[in-house]
Amino acid sequence: MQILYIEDDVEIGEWVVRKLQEHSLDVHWLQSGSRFTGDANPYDVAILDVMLPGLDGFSIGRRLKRNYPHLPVIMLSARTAIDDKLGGLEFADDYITKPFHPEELLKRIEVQLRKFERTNEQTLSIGHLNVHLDQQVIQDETTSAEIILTGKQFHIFKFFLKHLNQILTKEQIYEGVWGEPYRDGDKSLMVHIRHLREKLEQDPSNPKVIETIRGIGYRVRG
Amino acid sequence: MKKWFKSLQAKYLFIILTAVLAIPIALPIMSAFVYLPGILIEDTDEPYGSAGNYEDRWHEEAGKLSGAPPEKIGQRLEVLSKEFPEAGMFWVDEKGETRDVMNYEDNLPEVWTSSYTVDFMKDHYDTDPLTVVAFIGDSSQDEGFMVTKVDRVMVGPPIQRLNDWYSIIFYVGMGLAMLGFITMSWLFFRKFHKRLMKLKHAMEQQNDSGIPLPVQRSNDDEIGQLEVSFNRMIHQLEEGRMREQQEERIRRELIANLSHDLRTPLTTIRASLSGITDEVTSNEAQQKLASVNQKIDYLSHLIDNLLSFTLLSGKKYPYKPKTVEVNRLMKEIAAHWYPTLEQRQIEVDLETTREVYWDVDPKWMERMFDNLLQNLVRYAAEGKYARIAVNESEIMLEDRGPGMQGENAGHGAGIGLSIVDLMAKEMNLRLHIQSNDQGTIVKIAKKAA
Repeated sequence: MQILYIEDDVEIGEWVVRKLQEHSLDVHWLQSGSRFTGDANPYDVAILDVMLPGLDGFSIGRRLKRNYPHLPVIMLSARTAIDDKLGGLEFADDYITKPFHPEELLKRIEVQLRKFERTNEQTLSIGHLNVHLDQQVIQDETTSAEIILTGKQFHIFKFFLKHLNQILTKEQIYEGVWGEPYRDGDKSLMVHIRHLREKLEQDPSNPKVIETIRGIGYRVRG
Repeated sequence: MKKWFKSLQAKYLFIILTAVLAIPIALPIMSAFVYLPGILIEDTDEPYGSAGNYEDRWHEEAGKLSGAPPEKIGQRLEVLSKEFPEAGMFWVDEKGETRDVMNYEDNLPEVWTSSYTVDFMKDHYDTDPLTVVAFIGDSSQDEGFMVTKVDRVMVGPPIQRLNDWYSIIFYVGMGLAMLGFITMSWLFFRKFHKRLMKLKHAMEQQNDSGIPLPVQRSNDDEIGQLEVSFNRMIHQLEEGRMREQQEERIRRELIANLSHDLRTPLTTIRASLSGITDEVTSNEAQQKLASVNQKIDYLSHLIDNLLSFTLLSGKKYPYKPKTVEVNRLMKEIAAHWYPTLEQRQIEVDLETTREVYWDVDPKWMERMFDNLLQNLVRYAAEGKYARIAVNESEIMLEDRGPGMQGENAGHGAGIGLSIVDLMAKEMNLRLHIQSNDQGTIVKIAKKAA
């Protein structure tokens, strides 16, 4: 994983680089936007400060997104006004404010990598399941048996994997999978999840893979 | 001086002066108007003419009857009586006997003595009614005399006949003149009043910033001057507002910059702490470092709240209301906060209802609940419970923390709650906080439309 990181503050820059490297991420750190060649091909994520000498982070981010729409861009800024955030999120995929926790930054990088399918994780381990992402195969670790899902079930499960560790409301899942607005009282998602659990869970009455967050939604934890 | 003539004072004085001067002038003028035509126009169609005419006519008639026998005189009188029906007449022959009394009401003696004749002449000289005595024929021949009596009204100028009418016309005329003055001063005042009301209306008419619009100067008088002063005042107000806005903008920028400039070193402190954390081994020191790390978050929230509050109170916090399904919004907010609450072992209870739509800015709602949940995590985590309940008209957030000591929030929670309060007000929602040592219930209710 190659990360492009533009930050003018040396202390913060060194710290972030160290933290990212600890998690085996390669970081290419630049102290100003003008040092950036404009070639983002080698990178999987761009993390940009906003207040930079020379070209500001918003301009760099906008240009990057225009030339590389599939490159996730995360703004990392001390500007917290909602105008700045909204302005940043017009093009960027995430907006993190300083002072941040490095764990949070890592989580958010992970989320973006997963969202843009740039993760090089080939196998995900979820509870008793092993998910081989490249071959789209789900295997029960305990029995080594492959679990075959129907198209819709696989879509739903994939949507969970794309939003690993996030809590998803049934509206979000429905609209993400079916691509149309959720109508109040629609039971088809619940039915699909019940069938999905029957296949995935060791004990479908006490689900561990697809957690129910009471009143809110569902979560699949990696 | 030229200016003075244009003033309202001058106009008013002019009206008063006209009125005062016009009363003495108006009286004779009115008289002239009313009486002169009557006096000047001698109406020849009148049968009697003037007193003189009538007297002459009577003497002439008497002269013509010279030497006429009594029957002829009687016939003539009859003819004359028909001509002058309002006049009484009779004649006295050479023996002093009263004859042919026509339309004459006074008591007359059968025979006129010398003394009675003298008394009669005395009594009827220059009186009303007009009495004319004429010798028949030549007075030297003693043929008797004839008498006629007629109300002076009949023989005076027409004015005398219309005497009562004239006084009425005179008073009506005077009344009209007075009414004219009253109308004039009333019109004067009405114009004055109208312009004042126009100015008042202009003062109440406000533009977006709450400052009245300038008015068009109508005249050079006192109200015109007032309008000029009014416009000057508006100008000053506008300048003041501009200055205030500029100061407000500078303050906002200052706080925005301060917010940014404080956050960068806070991040640096965290970076440095991170470096130390790896080296420090003692448990106590680690705990202290963790505490400092928490304080960094706390400071960061305070700075953010300060900036948000400044923007909100300056109406510069972007507001984009839309129709939002409240259950869904609250579910998403709960989903976002769930990991934080879960980490602190706070049980989350979300109660939703059937679809409820509010016209609010979802970002603002998020921000309100971010602040409320932030406070919950910071001050009420020991209750281990958070309940969010949505119903038709309100959203409720309940915890089982130690409470906020009355209605007022504790230190630190203050500015966060102020933002919630301001946002609620701005979105036409009502914030109600109920807190005791068993917990706190925050209600955000939709105001009845």
